[in-house]
Amino acid sequence: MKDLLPAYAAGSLSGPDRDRVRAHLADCPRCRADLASWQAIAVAAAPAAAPPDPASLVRTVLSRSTIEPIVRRPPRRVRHLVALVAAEARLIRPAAPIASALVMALGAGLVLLRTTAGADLMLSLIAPIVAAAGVAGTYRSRRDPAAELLAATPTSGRLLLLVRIALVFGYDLVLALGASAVLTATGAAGADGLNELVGAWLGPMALLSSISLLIAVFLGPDAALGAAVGLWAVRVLAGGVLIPDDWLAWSIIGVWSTNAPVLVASAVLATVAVAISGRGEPHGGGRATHPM
Amino acid sequence: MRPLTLWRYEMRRAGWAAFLGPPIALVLGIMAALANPQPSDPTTARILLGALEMAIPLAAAVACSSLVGRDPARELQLASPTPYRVTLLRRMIVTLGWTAAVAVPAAVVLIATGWWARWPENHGAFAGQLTWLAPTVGLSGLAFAAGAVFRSPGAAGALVTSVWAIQQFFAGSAQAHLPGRLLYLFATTRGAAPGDWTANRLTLLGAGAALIVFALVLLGRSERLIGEEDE
Repeated sequence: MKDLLPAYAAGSLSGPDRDRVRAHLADCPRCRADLASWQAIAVAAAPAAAPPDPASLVRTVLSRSTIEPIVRRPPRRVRHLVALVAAEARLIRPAAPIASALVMALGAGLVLLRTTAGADLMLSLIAPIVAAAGVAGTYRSRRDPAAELLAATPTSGRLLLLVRIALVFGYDLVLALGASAVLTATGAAGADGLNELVGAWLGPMALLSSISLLIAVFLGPDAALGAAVGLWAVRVLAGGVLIPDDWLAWSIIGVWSTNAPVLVASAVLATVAVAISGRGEPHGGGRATHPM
Repeated sequence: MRPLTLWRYEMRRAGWAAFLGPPIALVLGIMAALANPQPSDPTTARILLGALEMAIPLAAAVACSSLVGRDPARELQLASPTPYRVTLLRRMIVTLGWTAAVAVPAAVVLIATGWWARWPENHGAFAGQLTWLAPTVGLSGLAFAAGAVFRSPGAAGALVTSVWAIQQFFAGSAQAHLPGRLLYLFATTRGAAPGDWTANRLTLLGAGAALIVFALVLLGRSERLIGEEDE
């Protein structure tokens, strides 16, 4: 019976022999196992399918390429960046942007209700500290729930920090611009146009945020928040009770204004902070080889 | 755990901001007084009292805004038999206690050297301690409550600093009506309506206490504290 199995597996056995083998296989597990081996050999030895005709293949491909639309996908780098922004946006807790919007709405509301004078002064007081407080929390620390995961990702720490700064600072920038536009449109800003209103807060916002970021990279978020509040308090007190209206007060006010040197200094500080952030491990994080 | 060990642990957990903030604020105030180009007695005395009434409360409030939301052992704290809000209250007491430990000796020195009496609105040596105590409790209560609501030290710090700055710049508007006068933080050094000072100080203390109670009620819902990981 074993001699008939190769022919049975190849399908070349005649009718009576084929029926006899089939009946035997039903009762013999050993021959069934042999048959499985022969069938595997038969499949492997079977001739390959005939190659397609080259002429018709080229014709088919060319005609299909003219009929079907070309799907243009964005370059890989852009897609990667969009994915990074989306991922970072998910890591920002909603409470912080909600609080920023509430504080900005409080300032704009007080101006709109005519309870205070000076839309430019109000926005120049609120916008910088809101942005700086947000930026203070952007740099990774071990308190960040995603810190270990982010430390293990192959994406550069500098790029992640840049993306997060762009999200946080960009959001606060849009908030301040929106508040300025509303106050200008409603006439609450008085004679000031949108440019004057933006000029009141843009420079201080950029400078305080960049200082906050630099301190966050060196000393962590608590120190950054404390330093930002301290610096801003000195600015607020300039010309008031603690710092009388003299050359010192005017020097402080001059530093916290919108002009080219202030904006350039802000950019330099932010660049230094981002460059430093890529060196070594995040502040406060235990090193990977920390002894137990 | 012995009580002393526990309190020492809470002092460490309160953070550097709580420890360094009030002394730095006081030093800045003293430097501002030394740099005053018009060294007439009332002006310098006003700057020194201003350091107690303006700078120290802000430093304490920023420290209190960082108490909720940045504890890496939060889940461990929530699993321990001691309610986490009691732990946070303990850290707030440590923060305010340290602020008092800085402010009281400074006030004693000012009283002993006569600078305290040189400001006409000083309200005496004992009741006058409300100069720094009332705004410290009021602003810190706001910071603690904002921290409990937002669970973000940055957001709470920004809110507190904005309120402080608005009251600095818009003193006239803030005191234009009774509620604003009662909640004004700088009634000693920037003036208050005659007879309003005591009511203002007591209102600030009451508002601060109410905000702390509100924060403790909110912190009792522990799911709010661990929910951020799902966001």
